[in-house]
Amino acid sequence: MVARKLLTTPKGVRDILPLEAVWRRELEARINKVFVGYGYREVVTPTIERLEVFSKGSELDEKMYKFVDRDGEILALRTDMTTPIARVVCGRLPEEKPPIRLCYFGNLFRYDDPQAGRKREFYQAGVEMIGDASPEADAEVIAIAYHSLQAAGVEDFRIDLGHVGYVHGLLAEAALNEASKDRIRECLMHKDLVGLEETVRAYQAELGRDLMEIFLRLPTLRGGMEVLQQAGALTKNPLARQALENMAEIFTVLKWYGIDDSITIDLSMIKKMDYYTGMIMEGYSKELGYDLCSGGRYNNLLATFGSDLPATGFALGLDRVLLVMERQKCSSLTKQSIFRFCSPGGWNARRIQWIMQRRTEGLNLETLNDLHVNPEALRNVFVFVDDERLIWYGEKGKEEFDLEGAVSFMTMHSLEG
Amino acid sequence: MRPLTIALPKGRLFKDVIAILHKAGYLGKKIDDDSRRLLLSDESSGLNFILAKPTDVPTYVEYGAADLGVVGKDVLLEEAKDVCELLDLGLGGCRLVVAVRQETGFQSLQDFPLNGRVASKYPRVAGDFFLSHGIQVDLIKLHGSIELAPIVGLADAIVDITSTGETLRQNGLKILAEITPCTARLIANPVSFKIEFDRIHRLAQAVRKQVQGNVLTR
Repeated sequence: MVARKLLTTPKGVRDILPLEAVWRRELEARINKVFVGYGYREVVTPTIERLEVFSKGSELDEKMYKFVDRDGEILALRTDMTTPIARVVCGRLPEEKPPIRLCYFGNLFRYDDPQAGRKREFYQAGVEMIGDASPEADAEVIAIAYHSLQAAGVEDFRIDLGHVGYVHGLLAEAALNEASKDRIRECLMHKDLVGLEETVRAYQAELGRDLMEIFLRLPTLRGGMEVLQQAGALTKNPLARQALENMAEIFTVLKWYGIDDSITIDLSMIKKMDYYTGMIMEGYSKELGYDLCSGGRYNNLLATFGSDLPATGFALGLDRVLLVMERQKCSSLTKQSIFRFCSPGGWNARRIQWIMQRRTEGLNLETLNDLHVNPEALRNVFVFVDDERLIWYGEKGKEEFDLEGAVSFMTMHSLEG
Repeated sequence: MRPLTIALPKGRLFKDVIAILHKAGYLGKKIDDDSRRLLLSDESSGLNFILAKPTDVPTYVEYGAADLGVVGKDVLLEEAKDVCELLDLGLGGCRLVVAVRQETGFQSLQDFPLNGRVASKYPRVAGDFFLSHGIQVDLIKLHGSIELAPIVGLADAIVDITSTGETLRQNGLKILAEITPCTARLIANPVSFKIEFDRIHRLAQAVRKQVQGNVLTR
């Protein structure tokens, strides 16, 4: 007797069963079409990397699965895809002329407590646009995120646009020590408005009245283009103003794409990963309590691998998008039709050749052996009567076909999906 | 328009929270937590109400099963969920403290024995607090009557909430250290806060007006 526990997976990882696996392939295909449509080329990097690769960019050190290989080298399961791609660009593609547009599909590992939207193994699709610092590049990444969610069939999604430079500039101006600045950043990151207000009021003297007011208003600085003007009127800090200008340029390009209606500017947005240097973004749907995609500009990461190139990108959580599709009962996802065939008394060359021919025509056929089945008890199966005729045992009784007729029947039902 | 769902904690805070929502104009009808119904709706304000155990409120909100919630800061610290903390309601004021038996000679945390046992409903808060003081302790999770643990020799200290300290005194315990003051908070799911920003912001402002006195006089 097999121990019950042996039939389950370890904590935080899961099996993907046939129905979901079909959806997943379909989703990847749709997203890949969007990526390729923007001129991105796929790269596949190993699941295992040297530990130092990740220490370069990652905030996720504590959440990494680490192990030692037989040569004594410390390795890690990848926690993100951006860092390995930065390594690939610097180490493997040094001759490529920027801009370099790469995309990926892969599984990642983080040692998180499994809870809302967090698994220890999860799947991402994303793009990295390397060697272009222009607002057009940032807007392109946001447009790809938009079109990917749209292609996936996610309804009513929104994308938030922020910029690390705004808060960074405001904090640079404040006469506070690093620990107090970290505390403010932490409050903003967790949208802890109570903590933010407490902290800001506690440092009223150091911040000064104007700066304190800005921080208190920060969480409400949300909306369209007009927010940039409001935020600009609040500060003279050059870094903060530069950030606002950059966002205005990006937003203008998003208007050209015709997608600005789905974008909300959020100046209080802060990211967990500290490699971001410019625009940051997040996408979400009302169906799900956590974000669907996330990204931004990271101009310093590639320099740590030896090429000083600006970069921007985003990643989409495939498991999360699938969850939304499931909740929306996304009918646009087709079911795979598989037709089953049985040949009582055994198969022969003629029947196998006929089956093979149908497969090359794009139909999905599964063959059953007598050893395994009792055709009379089966439903939804073709049973060969002889080399020319078949009987279809369907849900609503049986029907006889010649070979031609069986092909038309299958073609019709494949289209129905 | 989709109604907003708010998870309310049954018990200690319930009546005060209801009164505030009522005064803020977000609750037209009478509800009480003795009700066997756990899900109520109020068409006049466009709110749905979930009546939940306080420790479960952050979970409902994190998963998005509720857009908003009201819960004590003590529970928020212990549950450590990914939720936005919008507003201090200034209600249910209490303190999370470390308490020991009055007879012990302990004057401060530094007197605490190595690998001493600490009993608490808040093992995460207790563990983090001792760790931040460089003191290694063994944690024992209990679900109620925490004051009993030191008396019967189950633990050397407890971490629990207290408002006046009276229950602690009656059980022969004294406060060794204060961890943090706690009050009730209005919390929101991070995505709801973005998608329904205008409605949630308006609700938070209306509630804020009602509780301003509470927070200032604290």
